[in-house]
Amino acid sequence: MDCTHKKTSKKMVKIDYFGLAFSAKMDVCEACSAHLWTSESKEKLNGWFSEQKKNNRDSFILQASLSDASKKCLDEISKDYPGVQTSALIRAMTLVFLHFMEKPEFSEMFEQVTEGTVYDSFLQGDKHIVKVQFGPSGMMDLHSWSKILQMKTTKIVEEAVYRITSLHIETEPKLKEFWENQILPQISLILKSVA
Amino acid sequence: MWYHGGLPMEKEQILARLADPATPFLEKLRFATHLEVDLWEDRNPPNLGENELKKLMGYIPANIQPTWSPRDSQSGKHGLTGDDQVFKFEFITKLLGFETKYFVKGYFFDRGNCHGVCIQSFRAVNRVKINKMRLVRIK
Repeated sequence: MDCTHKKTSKKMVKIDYFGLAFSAKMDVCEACSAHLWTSESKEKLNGWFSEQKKNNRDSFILQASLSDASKKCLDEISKDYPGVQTSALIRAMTLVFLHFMEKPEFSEMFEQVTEGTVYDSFLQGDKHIVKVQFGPSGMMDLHSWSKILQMKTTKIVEEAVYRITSLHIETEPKLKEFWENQILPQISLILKSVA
Repeated sequence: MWYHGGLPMEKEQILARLADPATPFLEKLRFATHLEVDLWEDRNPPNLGENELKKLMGYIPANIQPTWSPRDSQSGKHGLTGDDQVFKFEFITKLLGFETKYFVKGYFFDRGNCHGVCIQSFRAVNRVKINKMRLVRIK
């Protein structure tokens, strides 16, 4: 069915964002139940997000489960950023990962890095729970990618860490160049702004 | 302020490009999505949202040629003022081990004064797992 949304009515729509309920009056299609986002409803959503960040901080915290090997690699990378916590490094890695996922020429590198043995080694062993807090825009990015990839937001954070730490270790020239010239400068830029 | 090809653009410049019939379709879509988007979400089958469309815009081939057909619905914020023709196209992404085909359908608004786009459908129509190949290094 390819609905053209011919018959609509104004209804209150409730939408779940990371366990928080946003509601707004929107045009709703009577045939397929779709709701119409317009500049007005988006403006309302942005205001609501700013409020939630102040009042529901816990909803902006994700718990990632990371392997021992990847945790050690994170500790090694963070030595170059004195005073920066591991959670800040994970947040920076996630945001950089999502940024490059938008670019096909770079997202291909995140596929390639899983073909080597380093990535598999990071998936093995004991797991550690790490809490990572995101801002509203970071959470929205994760929410969007979660819908695109059909993957939970925590799983995306874990994949970001595994793939980026693998790039840090990999010696294959193209991957090494991607780490040194693209990924690392972006991570450094984010971490220097929070240090 | 919006950037195109690394250069800053004012809203008036974007509107001029949107009005130019020589502007390629994808460029027009990109410009329009940065000005105003109406999007029908959570339809059945489920539609993805505006942020998802913007994130995947880089995967749409630059030379994409949509198919055009007459629009038969006038509902929604720009339903009465939008273009009479709807565009339809598909594109493919390869991300985190999955190849996904997406379908997009919509129309530009307003007629004769383009400053946005209404996306009636944006959804994944096919998703298949890509077989993983292992790299073997020759020593």
